Amino acid sequence: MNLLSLALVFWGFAAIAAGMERHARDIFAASPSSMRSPRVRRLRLLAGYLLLALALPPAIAAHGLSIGVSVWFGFLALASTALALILSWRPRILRRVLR
Amino acid sequence: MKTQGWLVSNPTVRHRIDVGLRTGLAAFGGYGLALLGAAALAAGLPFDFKPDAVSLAVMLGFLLHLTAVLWAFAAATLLRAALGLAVPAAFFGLWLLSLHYR
Amino acid sequence: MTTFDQARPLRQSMSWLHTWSGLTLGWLLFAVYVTGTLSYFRNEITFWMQPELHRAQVVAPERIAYDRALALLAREAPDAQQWTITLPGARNPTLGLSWQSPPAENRQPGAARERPANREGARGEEGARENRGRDRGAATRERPGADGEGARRENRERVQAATRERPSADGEESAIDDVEPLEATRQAEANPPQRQAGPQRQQQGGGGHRGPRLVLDPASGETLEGRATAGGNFLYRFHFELYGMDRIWGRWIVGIATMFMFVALVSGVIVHRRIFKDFFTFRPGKGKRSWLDGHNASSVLSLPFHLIITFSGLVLFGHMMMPTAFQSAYQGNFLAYREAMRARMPQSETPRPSGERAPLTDLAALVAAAQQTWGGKPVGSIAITLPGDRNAVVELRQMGFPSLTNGRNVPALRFNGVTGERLATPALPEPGAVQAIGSALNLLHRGFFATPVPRWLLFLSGVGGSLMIASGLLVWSVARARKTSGAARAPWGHRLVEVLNIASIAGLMVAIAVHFWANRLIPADWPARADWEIRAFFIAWAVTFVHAIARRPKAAWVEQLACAGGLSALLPLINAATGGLALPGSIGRGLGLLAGFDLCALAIGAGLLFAAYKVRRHAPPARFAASGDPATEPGAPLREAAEEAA
Repeated sequence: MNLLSLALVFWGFAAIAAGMERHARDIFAASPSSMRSPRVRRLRLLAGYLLLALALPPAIAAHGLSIGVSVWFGFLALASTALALILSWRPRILRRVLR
Repeated sequence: MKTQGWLVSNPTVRHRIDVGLRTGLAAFGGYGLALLGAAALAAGLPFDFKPDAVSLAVMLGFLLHLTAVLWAFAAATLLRAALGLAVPAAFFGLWLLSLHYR
Repeated sequence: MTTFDQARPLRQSMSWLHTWSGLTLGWLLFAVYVTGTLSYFRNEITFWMQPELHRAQVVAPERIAYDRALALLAREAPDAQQWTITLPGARNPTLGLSWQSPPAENRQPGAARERPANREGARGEEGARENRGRDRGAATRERPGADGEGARRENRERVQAATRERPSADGEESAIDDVEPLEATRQAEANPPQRQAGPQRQQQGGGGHRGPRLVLDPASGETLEGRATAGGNFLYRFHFELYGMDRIWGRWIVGIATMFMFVALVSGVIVHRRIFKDFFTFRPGKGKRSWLDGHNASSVLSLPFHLIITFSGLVLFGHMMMPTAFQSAYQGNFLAYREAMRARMPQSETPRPSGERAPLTDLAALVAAAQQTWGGKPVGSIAITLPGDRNAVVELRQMGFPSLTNGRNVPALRFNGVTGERLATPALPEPGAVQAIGSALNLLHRGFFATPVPRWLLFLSGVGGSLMIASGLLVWSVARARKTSGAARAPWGHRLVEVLNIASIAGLMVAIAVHFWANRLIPADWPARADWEIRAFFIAWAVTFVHAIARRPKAAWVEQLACAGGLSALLPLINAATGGLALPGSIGRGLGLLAGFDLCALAIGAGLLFAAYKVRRHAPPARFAASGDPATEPGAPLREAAEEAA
């Protein structure tokens, strides 16, 4: 449950990053520009936020309501930090999963 | 306003006085406001269970101090900074008095 | 008056506020953050620091040698009012025994209502068990570590140095330790509602000893003797009351610093408008830009944690810093406040001694029954009231706190001590909204969780917070190094900041590593060895200040980072070499807490060495050349702050 929640949060943030113009440029540098069109990016943002929300129930299932919500916040911090580091040094490794 | 002499004419000195006064206002005025607010809230918040009022008053007290510090530096003029602290302080003071003489 | 004014844009004034509220006490805040972050693993650190306990075997609860433990208790404390057995868990593999002597006076039945010990866990705010008025007996005084809040409190006041209070810390920190309000306690001492215990207290207070306590190997029941050490308690105490001064001063200093932190955080958020736009942005290798990115990232990505930890830190000091709330609501009578809090807690009758002896029921069966009732959640401790009597009562408490909002109540079950029959347990009251918030703030700050994941997340967020402070301090330096690079000499203020940065960031890491080395190098039977461990910490820290002054900044950074890195990375080796359980052994035997310490030390040491390497290799761009400030190296201090996990 913990891992599921963490994975959802991570890919949620990855999708959000891929929906932001600057990071989309990094991640899809070598891809056709259709991968960076505003419409695609908006869809990614939406999917990203959805994934973040979906990560909450497993965390609550694992820890109970109050601790689960705190753990979810902790996962947000952890996953976003990891993602920020990946985006700084190896943004393209995200490309395959994000299509 | 006319008696302040050379002090005020020097921009650096003026700036330092401004910052110094705001700092004092934020630290001591803000803390005083927080103490007063915590006292009034603890006694005046309508909770059935009195310790709840106390706990909440403590939390709000810190938030009051925080707000006061931000305000002391954000206000456009020193006068407004001071007034922004004095008005809530007066409010809490009156509240506390009204509770006292109820 | 208005002529002093300078109207400035909001952002500019907030930026000024952010800079100076962060910088003024930034070094202290860094130390508080680092030691506080380490305190999430205080039990684990204490266990590591007592290698004598490392041979404890890891066993399932049903295989614990209860009979041996009970035999030992019967021999050591046949007349005790209550025995407490602390069960091994993920955070401590040993079995702890403690006991409480019968009250000297007043055993009239009914006179003393007993609250199931520890039902209300952690907090001083609620004043936890202020039984002072009622059973101010010797018993309260002698209550041993695991659950005697009374005893703990007495000890705290008595023993000035925080860490000395636990001369033989036994690696078993109860989750019930609390940050109780000192002045409240003093007040309680000054006006006991029923004055009975003055003289007794004196008499007890003299020795400064804690309640009796034994540590056993849970499988064999053999007694383990840990060395005298403050253990993780030193860092823990340091993070909220510093050291070597009256603790009330220490608390005020930390409390004020926390307020600065709070202001810096919120003004920082106001200044940094593009929070979401720059959310994932970190541009390495670009000097000040990188530092700023690092500062923003470490702040923003765990901003909820920073805000909560800072605010809850203040609220934990609420009694001290917002005394007027208590004065106005209770006319300064703090005991009335405590009594009101207490009255809400569930009360159960104290069993009355029957005078007839009867054998105790099978504890393993009770533990199994409790675990089943709790859906597999482990039992934390067993309290046996009136052991050996026909009216004995056994209370089992769950390990850790299952919820944030009702943190004062650990679920517990009561059994008849002879028949093993389940007794009614008073229902836990549902907390009101305010209590739930207070409890959540408290428990989040202190990380009392039954499972490791939330604690690790708090720890990592703490690492992030330390990075935030360190990078913020360095941004200040780097920005000014750039401006003054033309000058032959940096102004003294910049030099001061630089020295403070080096010694309070890299130097603190050296000091922490030295503290752990001292733990192993000072012979186990050395007199006052626990004090010397702490002195080693401060001596090392002082040396890093001198060193930072004496050397050129870059050399000072490299040498201190390398020193701290080397010392940290070698901790697993010194552990193995000085009687501790080496890494392969701790992994093999499932002692995750020990392996976790060693692996963290290794990782942190590696990070520090890497930072040292990066700083050393860093050639400042031409325009910084005059300053020679290694802080312009992007990777470095980020790492070193990460090493706070030491």
